[in-house]
Amino acid sequence: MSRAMLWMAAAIAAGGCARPAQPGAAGNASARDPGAVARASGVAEVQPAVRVAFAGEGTLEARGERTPKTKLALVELSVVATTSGDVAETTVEHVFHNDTGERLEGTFRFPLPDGAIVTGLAMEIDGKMTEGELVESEKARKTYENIVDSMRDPGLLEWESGQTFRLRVFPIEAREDKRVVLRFIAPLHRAGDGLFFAFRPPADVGAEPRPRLAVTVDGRRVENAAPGPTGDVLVRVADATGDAFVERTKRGAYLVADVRPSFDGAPPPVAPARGQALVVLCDRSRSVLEARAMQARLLAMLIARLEARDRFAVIAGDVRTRTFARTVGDPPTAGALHEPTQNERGAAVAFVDGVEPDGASDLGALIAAAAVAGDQARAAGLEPVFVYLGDATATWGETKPVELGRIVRERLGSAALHVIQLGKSTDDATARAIASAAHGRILRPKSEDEAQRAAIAVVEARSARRIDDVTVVGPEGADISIQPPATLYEGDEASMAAFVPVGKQSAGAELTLSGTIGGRSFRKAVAFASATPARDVAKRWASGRIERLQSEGDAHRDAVVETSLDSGVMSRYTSFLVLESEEAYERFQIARKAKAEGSDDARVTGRDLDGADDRSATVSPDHLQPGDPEIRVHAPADAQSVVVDFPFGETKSAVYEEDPRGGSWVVRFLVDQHTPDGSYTLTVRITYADGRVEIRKVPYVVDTQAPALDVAVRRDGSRYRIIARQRLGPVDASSASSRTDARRVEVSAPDGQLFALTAVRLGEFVGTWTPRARPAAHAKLRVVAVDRARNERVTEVEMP
Amino acid sequence: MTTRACLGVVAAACASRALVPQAHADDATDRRAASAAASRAVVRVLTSVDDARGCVPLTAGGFAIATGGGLAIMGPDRSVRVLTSVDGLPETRVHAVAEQGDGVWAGTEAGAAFVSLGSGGPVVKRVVGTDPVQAVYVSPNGVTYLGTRGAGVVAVDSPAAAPRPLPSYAPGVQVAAITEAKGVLYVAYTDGPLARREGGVLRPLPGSPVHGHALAAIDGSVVLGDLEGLFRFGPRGGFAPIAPVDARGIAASGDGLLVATMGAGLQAGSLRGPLRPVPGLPRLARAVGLRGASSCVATADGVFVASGEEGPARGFRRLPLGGLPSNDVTALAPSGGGRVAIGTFDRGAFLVADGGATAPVPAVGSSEMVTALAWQGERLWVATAGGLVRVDPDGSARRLLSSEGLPSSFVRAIQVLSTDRIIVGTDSGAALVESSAGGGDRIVPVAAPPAKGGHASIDSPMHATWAVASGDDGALYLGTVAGLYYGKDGRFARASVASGALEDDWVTALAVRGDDLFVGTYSAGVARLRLGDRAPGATPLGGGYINAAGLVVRGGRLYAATMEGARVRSLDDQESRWEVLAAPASGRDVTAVSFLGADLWLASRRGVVVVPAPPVATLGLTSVSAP
Repeated sequence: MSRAMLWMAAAIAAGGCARPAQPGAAGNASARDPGAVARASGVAEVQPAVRVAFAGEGTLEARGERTPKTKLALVELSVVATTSGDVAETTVEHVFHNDTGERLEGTFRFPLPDGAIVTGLAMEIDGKMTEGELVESEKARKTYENIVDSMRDPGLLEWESGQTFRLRVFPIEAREDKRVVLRFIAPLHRAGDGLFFAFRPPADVGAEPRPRLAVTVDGRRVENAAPGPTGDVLVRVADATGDAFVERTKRGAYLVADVRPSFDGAPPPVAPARGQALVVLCDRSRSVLEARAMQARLLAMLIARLEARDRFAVIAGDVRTRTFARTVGDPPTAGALHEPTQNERGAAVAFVDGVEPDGASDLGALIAAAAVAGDQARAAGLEPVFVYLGDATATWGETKPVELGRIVRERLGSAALHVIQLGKSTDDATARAIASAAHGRILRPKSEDEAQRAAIAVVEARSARRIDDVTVVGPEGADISIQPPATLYEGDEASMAAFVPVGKQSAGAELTLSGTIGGRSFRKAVAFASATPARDVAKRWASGRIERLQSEGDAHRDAVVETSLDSGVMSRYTSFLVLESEEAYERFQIARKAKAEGSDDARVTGRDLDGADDRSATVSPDHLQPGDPEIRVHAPADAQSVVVDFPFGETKSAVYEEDPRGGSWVVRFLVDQHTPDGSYTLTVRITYADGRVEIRKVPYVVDTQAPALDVAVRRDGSRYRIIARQRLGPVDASSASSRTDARRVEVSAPDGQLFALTAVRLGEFVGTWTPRARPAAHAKLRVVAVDRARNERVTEVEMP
Repeated sequence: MTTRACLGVVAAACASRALVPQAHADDATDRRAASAAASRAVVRVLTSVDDARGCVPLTAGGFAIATGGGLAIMGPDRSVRVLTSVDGLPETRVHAVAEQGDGVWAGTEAGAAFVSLGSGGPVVKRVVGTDPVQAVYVSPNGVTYLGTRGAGVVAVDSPAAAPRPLPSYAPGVQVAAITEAKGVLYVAYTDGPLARREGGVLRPLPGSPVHGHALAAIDGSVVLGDLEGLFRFGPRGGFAPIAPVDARGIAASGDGLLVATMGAGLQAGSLRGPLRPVPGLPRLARAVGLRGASSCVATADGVFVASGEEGPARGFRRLPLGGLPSNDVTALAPSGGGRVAIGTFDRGAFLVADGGATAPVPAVGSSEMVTALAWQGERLWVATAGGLVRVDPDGSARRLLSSEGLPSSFVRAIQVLSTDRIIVGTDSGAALVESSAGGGDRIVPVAAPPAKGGHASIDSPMHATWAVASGDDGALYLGTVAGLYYGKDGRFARASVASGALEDDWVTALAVRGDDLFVGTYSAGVARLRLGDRAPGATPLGGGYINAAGLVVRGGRLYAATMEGARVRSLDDQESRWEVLAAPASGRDVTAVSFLGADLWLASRRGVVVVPAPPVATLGLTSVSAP
């Protein structure tokens, strides 16, 4: 790939309805040498942006009565991704350790990747992973607080701001681990002709030990993967798939599409005849505190990109606005517009730096001040271009995204307003509303390289070809939840999502994207029939609907809650709540949809190997030795067929079997003795009675490694205290659900006594031995550990 | 080197002259000689050839059929011959078949074989040992391509040439299908995108579905059958969906198209028009073959063929290949009356009579998992994953479940104690079942079952019980996943790894001989326990992975069905070691060893082999090290 192509392919990580490509696309006479930009900014090379599906580990900060706020050590981190179409459902499991001597309450924060949709939460309670339930926020909070008061084990994941979610965790027992599992859907990275699962490994932070990281993608463990130049690891999961995906359910058909309109035949781009006045709006509210350095760098980059004929203005704002107006210097500048000289640039950066980030954010006031600068630009014969640098989170004055969009339209006229989102708590809905109102793009740089590309995109936007008046029309009855912005620039991808209910579907149903390019009409259709079947399309549609409804403030709160609970997609007004038991859910009158949905999943079970009844025959749900396990697929009895493809080449048709839980489709299969240890994936194809097809992936682990123990024996008067802790083996570590899988530990004492140790927590067993007579010197205890897959290991320990 | 048709079951005895399974070909010379001696006996191979995975009409008439129970060759005269590993195939399970010259290539679970179809009958001429071969394609230029599961594509340039792997940049390694269009090779993978050979290297095609199963070339286009549907890869690239079917096999003639699907049976049509189901065929079709007017469809329920006399894609009829209902045999139980009950992993249980006819066991479902069988006189007990089935001599049957008092409905072991009493092992412990003359059954767990949803304490014998046995003194022996429990009158002691008596707590098989109890375990072989000792001393005998109910004592020898074949050792010679039973088995994973009179029956995951009255040498050979 040539440098120019690399530059063009370097799409800026942008969420929302359009994924901008690099401006100044092929043929653009005014496009500048990116290498020159890189040199000017001191960046050695402009690297392609990577769309990560796992953006790094979360943190758990906790405090107790005697313990000040403490960041707990992350000891293990597991990422399990299952791809479908152009997204991955990613399950991230964190294991934190409370090294203090007291019980703590904590807050878990996790950096969600751009475009992620939160779909699940689970926490370990009493050694058992419990799936959370999506509950309306107020009810969830009250329930949580009620339970915290009674010292039980809840977890509450709720929206904090923008794309940030906060998990409250209680209790975190002294000297114990706390396990948190978060599940979300995130876009895959598309590069060249391939789709990649991209993840950012944990950073090496000083003396802090790195957590153990296990990454599994589509059932395959990612081993020894080295990060690329961007610091991200890319795992190729497929060649490029189509740009449209469909999911058919009992309700109807859901479609999502990311189309890149072709500009073939459109008039070539024209170099602008007049200069531009770049009006930079710097949000200096407290929420951008962490991004202040990036904001300053961007400001400098933007000004550096301007030509001599251009001018710029800078307006900083929180609850009030301040305009950069230098009345001293050489030469002094009066008014808002400044020449893009090095001195002016330095002074502008210093001006912004001098406004300490604090207080709330009044976006309406900032736009009003920008309008004044725009008027000055027009008076000077320049074309005004506006760019906002901040988190787009309005907290003062007008806060509703729809209203802010209206203000932009009214105050800024036909000029473009671009949004460069900075900070962790960004508000995508507001960003989309104001950018869409004014031919703008949304850019989310996360690195110096990406900031460079964002600066180029904004300054060169005037030169790029674009489609205006973009609209999407669906078939009759269609509910379009995701619309592209009103303006699409050349190279941008337009995202769309629609739902067509049963009864409104027709063979030729399609979504039509239309608009104008240089006055000519443009049209592109996406047919439901030609879209690729995929999972999670309905959730993506629901996420778009929730975001659209939320953009109008609290007006549609009930509708948001309804869509959220219905689809299992979290929103501002719903929270995931984990309670200690099914009885607790019942007590607080919380319907267990998650539980019911969980039972819809196919799963592998080694049946009960140790004496439980039929209902709980799931000792090794995903952990097996070679043998003859079974797979149970929960699908309707009237399904046309349920076919299972095994990783060892066999295909079997499942048979419906009634059972006390209501029946399921069952296949029994053989795990050959020579099957290597590791993670495997089954593919299940369900053909429903109405012809709808669903493909599910079911992982399982073959484990023949016996559990290893660290055994400590301490003398306590005439008795001996025995403590056995499991050391992790490689296969145990590869499974998100069975990290410490020892389930029974027995001790044979030198005097012939045989007794079992008591499990006090996962992987830890304790017991006391009272000898019948004084043990001989060098006498040994024989300790037998058995794991969930029935592997056994004998450890002999000499008496102290 | 040939066999007569090992057609189905007992009716057709197969005289085999070269019956050494390929997997054993490199073993010691003495074993080979003894095995050959055993093979000279009239060996009967019982497999399921209705478990069809591929088929092709032959140029000279007839069909070659790849099945889970061997390669079936049906001649123009409708005679059927079946070749298995006993006949020299690398493995009994055959995935794919393709005709070349005077023979066919068969892709098996352990490589491929070229089988000559000369006038003397089918003979294995050449074996290419590779990973499992799931696809075979014979190019018009004479090169044979073998699609493997795990090692990509292997090319065999001529019948005598050494195999060579094709270079590949494709991410997939599990080849499902191969074809050529306009001289260009295409390869479908179940774990990756379709690949095309360019510049001698297989390269993935952008935009391809990634669960490929079938390929065909039609009018310069390539048609890909995928889990996601049927797609056309056009000359200008791109995958256009044709139909949302789970296509597993494609055959084309002109612009006509036959598509074998899992779920929608055989579909017929063309690239221009819609696909329509062909009536009268099972919904689960795995492969389709077409030559001229002849066509065949391979399904899990047999092979269906049509001559074309009734028009394209019409007049299919099921070939009466017969055989066992399943190759995955889990249990054998000879009766005193000359019948043998056979239990399968996935197809219920059935009876094989002297005449070779098979009949399903009443009240046992055709897709049930059977774990154990036992005759109580003329009454047959069947242990299944869904209860204990009692079949009385008059054919009446009764199913006992946990609701009738069994500790669990998943029953794993049966031992007959008397004419009216048996003991069964279930997933939640053992129980005694007493049958009354009136037909009722009284079920008494040997100890208090664990609470619903709970687990028994380690002192209780009520754990998942895989083996049961009894001593002359009425003592019961319960082989569980938590060790061996022994005792009577409701009081049990435990022998385990912790106690030093066992090397694995997962007890899978038990056998009693006088004062000796032989305890087979999942992964640590057999332990000999001396009965009557207060604390049973144990002697580890080794023997590998012992399958459920896999120990038999007979004639001073202990036979073991293991995951690595059948083994035998002398019980009277303390110095003796385990030896590999030289009698040919049709599968490596031997699940049962049994005797009907003097005849030896060996069950495996690949069917049953019957060695009538094997010579003693077959049952105890020169010492071979056992694991």
